[in-house]
Amino acid sequence: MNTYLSCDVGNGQLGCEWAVRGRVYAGGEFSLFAPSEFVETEELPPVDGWGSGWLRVEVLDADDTRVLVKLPRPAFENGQTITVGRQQIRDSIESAAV
Amino acid sequence: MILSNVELFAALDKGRLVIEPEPSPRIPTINEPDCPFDTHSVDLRLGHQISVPKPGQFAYDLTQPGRIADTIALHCEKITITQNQPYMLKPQCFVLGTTLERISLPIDRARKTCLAARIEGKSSRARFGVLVHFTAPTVHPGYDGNLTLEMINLGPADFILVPGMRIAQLIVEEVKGIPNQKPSEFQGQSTPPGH
Repeated sequence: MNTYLSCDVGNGQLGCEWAVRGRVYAGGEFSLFAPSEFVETEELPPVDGWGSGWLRVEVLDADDTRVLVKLPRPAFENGQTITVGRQQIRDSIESAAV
Repeated sequence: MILSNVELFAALDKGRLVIEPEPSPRIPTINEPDCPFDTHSVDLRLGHQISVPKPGQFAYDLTQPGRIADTIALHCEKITITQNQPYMLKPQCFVLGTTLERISLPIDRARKTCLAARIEGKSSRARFGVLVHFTAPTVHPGYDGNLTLEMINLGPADFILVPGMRIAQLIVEEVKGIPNQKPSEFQGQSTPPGH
């Protein structure tokens, strides 16, 4: 089952990717360019703006409130793993849309 | 053969590879998610010293005797950067930097192999048009010191260099056999010009 992380989605530098940004549990932000196949957009973002979407991630660990996830590519700010809140995660894009 | 992160941990534990301060955590956790180790590399951070070459009416002449480090240092401005006073690398500008970490690849002559390494850029930095090294990625067996970064901004916008930022990655390889040691002029260096 795929796991998705709630995020903002914008246009990437290249046609095969999306710009993705979101928040980590501790309150900071992360951003990266993610290959298109890892991103589901709820609506197409404007050319120079952001829309809502979901980033496919790998769950490495979790506790009651937090989830450690591996991003598809390293974030600009730090590495490829971040801790996010449980409420930011959905187990499939279908349940995310409910 | 390139070392995986598991082999990197083993090399660190055995002292075949020394990185000081040692990057951590080795494994990301919920409380400490920011892990510098990738599958077969480890991120290195930018140190506090920047060396900015001065323009002028001179030429570097490597046929003249004397230490290269002195020649470079004579014609550069040394800058210490901090979190509050980072360095703005302008487009088309070139500076020398150094890794925060000291790297050591000791040769154990009792063994049949030793380690070498290559410093490489990171794609997330390359996106801005910033090269953190060019033409000089090799860290030879027996080397001990900080690694000099030859940084140039080929992008269209300023790039801010902050100490402690992840700037490069180190890839470590096994060398078959024990080489005859040839000391590097930059052995033990801790500053960008190689002192």
